[in-house]
Amino acid sequence: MLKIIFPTMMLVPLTWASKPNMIWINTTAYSLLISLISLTYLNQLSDNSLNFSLLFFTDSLSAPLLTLTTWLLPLMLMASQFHLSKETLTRKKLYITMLVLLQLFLIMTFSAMELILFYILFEATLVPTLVIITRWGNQTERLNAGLYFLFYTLVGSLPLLIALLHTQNNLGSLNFLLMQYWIQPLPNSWSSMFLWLACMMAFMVKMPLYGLHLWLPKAHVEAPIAGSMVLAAVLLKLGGYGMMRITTLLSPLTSFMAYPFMMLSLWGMIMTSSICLRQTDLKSLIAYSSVSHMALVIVAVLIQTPWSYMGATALMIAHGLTSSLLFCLANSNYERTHSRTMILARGLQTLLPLMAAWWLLASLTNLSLPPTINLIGELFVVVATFSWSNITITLMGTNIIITALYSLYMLITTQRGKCTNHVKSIKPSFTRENALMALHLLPLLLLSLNPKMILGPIY
Amino acid sequence: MNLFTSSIITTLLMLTMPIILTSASTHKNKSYPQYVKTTVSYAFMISTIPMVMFLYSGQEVIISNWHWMTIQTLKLTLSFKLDYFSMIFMPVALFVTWSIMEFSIWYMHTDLNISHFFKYLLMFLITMMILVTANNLLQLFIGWEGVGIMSFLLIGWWYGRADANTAALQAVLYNRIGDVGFIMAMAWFLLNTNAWDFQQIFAIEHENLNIPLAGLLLAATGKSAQFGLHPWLPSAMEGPTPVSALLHSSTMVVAGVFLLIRFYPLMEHNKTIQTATLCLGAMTTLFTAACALTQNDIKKIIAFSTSSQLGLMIVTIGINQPHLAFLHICTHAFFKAMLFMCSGSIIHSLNDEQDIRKMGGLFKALPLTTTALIIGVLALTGMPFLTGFYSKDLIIETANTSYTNAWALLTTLVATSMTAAYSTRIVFFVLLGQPRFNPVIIINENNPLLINSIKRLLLGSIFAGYLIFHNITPTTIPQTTMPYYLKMMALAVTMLGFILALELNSTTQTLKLDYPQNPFKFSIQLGYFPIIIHRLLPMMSLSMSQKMASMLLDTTWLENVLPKSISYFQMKSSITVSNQKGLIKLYFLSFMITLVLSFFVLNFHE
Repeated sequence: MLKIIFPTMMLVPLTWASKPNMIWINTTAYSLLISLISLTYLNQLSDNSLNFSLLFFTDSLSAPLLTLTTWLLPLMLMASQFHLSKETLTRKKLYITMLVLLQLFLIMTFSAMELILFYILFEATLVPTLVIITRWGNQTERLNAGLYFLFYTLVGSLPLLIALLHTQNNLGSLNFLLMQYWIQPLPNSWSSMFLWLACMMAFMVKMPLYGLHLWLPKAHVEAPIAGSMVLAAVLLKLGGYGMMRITTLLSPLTSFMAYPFMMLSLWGMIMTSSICLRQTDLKSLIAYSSVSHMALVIVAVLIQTPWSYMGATALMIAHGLTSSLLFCLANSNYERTHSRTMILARGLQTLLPLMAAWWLLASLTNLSLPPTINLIGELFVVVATFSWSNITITLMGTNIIITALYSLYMLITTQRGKCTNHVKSIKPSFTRENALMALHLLPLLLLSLNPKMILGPIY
Repeated sequence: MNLFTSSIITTLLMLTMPIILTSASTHKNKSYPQYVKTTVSYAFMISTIPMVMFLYSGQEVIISNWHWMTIQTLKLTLSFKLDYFSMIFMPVALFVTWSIMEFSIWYMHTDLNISHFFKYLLMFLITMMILVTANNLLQLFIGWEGVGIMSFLLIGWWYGRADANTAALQAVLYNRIGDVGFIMAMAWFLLNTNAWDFQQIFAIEHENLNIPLAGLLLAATGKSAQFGLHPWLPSAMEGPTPVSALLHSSTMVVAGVFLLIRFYPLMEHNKTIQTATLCLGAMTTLFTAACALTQNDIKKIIAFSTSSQLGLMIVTIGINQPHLAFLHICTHAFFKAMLFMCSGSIIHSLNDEQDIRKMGGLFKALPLTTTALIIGVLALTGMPFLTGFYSKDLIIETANTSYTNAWALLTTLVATSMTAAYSTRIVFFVLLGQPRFNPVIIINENNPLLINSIKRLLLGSIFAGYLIFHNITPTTIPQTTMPYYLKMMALAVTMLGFILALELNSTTQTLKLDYPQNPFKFSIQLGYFPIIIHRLLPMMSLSMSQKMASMLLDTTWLENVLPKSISYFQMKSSITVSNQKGLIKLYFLSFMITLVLSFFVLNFHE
């Protein structure tokens, strides 16, 4: 594990010691190398996990998320170059340091073996994210967004700390590997219900569950590009990952406690995707689409069958790459038209044909075209919910239709139609941007050749 | 292992070659369209080898070669099912696509992105091939969705036009509704049979198959534009004419029918679904034929006729004759593609004029197109010994002699009669009479690309039915005898349609203009369908999402209940609790007390 953590730490001195014209190249190349090292974790030879030390381990559930995290840092660095081009050198270095810190915390969160360690690191990720949003966002609303982000997640996760302390007291250990052997079924009482709520709400807020999702569109819209990318791609997945890990603690209660949350997710999925149909703001649309996709993950995790877990894991990885790609595309539009309003960027296909191809592929993966991993994830979730209750197919089906509609609505509004006059003097797309999109799409397409890699533990 | 599998794989791999090659060469190649066309023609020739072998020996093959993944007990492999349906359909689709591609080299020659267009056409064909040859549901779904997305791209080819974009979105939306049915069927089969392979699904005995079959029927309704989900098909005419030809003949729209044909081992024992299928098909065929009667856009008329023929195919599945429905798919592909190409030729010659009222007298100016159009129209109506006859006549006969409900039968017969009526209308308005177009237009159909492609399909429209009909093995026992009036029924209703339409067309020239009647309004407004469904439903759902989801719930309730109210109460309570009230005067006055006190204390100390 240290072979990832130490290089990541050393990225900080690398940033500060680099020559002014080399800071982006050095950090990007170096972090790309780190992500190549982390690819080895994907190769989980047996059902057992890879235990690195008493503190860190990875198994087939956390390894894909870990790799996604490391893969995303070079992409974030590539994406933010233009955004920061007018800043001073020190600020650039500070910004990169923040991103590196965030990656460091995320890596350790995904590989933590102790629940308390997991909790601390889970909270620690808030700090760099908050700084990224409130310091480098573009408008004054970023402060409000930062407040929402911080308070929603903090209020949600503080009860988890108490619940963890209680469990530690009862069980004597919060080690993931030991826990699954030591755990006793929870008694059917009011206090166990509160324990369940305390454990789950932290992650439900992070996911976010419909009703507790207000922080997400705000944070996404106001955050700079790297912030949006990492929020959509990795931070939301912390919620799903945490839920999957902690449900082992709460064993008989979930099947009963899940109902209100299932209902809320199924309902919210449709609500949020229909909000997407009326969005004029590109980033807000993508943010709401994330909420709707994450609702699927919540449903899948709460059902707790092997198929639904596989679907949830696949969907998390697929959505991570897709939504990050969509944010990058939105950002490339923003850098040219200086507006997030979709209608101002219409007809771009004529001017930027290659970018239009990326848009097309991104929209298609977002509406889960077979055989991408998005479809694998969604299909497994649909199958799992169908077996849970046949009627859910109507809600799932409605969501599938609306998802296709808003993805293509986004594509048509931004790319198709007549070119407007004010965009005629825009810059062509840079190689950097094209490479960025390709690096998002490549894993998406290659993973569909062997989706087993990201299905999590195959029972 | 013989020539059979290797030539099939060659055919499929050949089709992918042009797509792989363009990603290698970055420069635009002028001869790329020609290259694609030649590839498809070679693929056609190679695919006839296994077809002939299949017809000779009747061997069915399943190629299963790449193990994709195993999830628990479900094994997913890349596998091809080469049976009666895929073996006959592949050459037909390739032949038709070959002609359409040759035609589109001519039709699209001014388009700057013609190579791109050909790549899309080819990918469209490939996804259809995947759909046809798939041996498991997931692979079928890949082809199914691929066809839908490629149609989105092709219909929206002229992306600057708002109409084209709307039509493309419409196509995806209606198809997506069907996809929900498909996904439901997939989920059901996975849960109950633990398999997505056709052989395993068919091998297992089932008790109640209503749910998955209803899902499949919904899927077919979406893809094959059956009643209720049909409006996308006429809208799809916004795309370029070659796209319409390909979409409506051998790909995309027949995919739904093909799906039901694939699942006939399950459907043939389920009476509920069969009746539903029959009624759906009958309703579609009548409704769309009625809509076709009054349309003025030549492409729209042909589009509605496709929809009507698809309804007929669904009717055939409803009376439990999947093989006959399949025969009609194959024969229909030839003359429908040709009809679209003829209309493309006319539209191109008349400077993009699509209104049949502004045509007329074209039989002198465009002799070959006229010939092809008339033969195509006759084949469509099922004139004896043309291609359409062999399937359509048989379908009507079988429907006549089978135990079926009389309403569906009557509806189908009326629709058949209407087919003849609108066909006559096309011929009457486009070819006969005086020219009503601009005299400046120079009409020219002497391009070999156009002539050859139409000629090839012309031969197909005349002979293909005969050839296919005489070479396939009979699958169901044919009716040996039937009463004279039943035998002649199909022909009689068609003739009736012809005569009525001819008479009406001639008399309307002399009648004075009257206020339109209600049936006319019903027909020309497409049964008020677009007005009601395309205005009311989107308005309701969009205003719901704006008012309820976005305004009421998100920005009002959720915002107020949690963050806003908490901050409000926090503020209020902190104000109440704190000592500091902002009463500056009083605070400063309180200094006074200290001052006065200290003054007194200090002064009077001694």
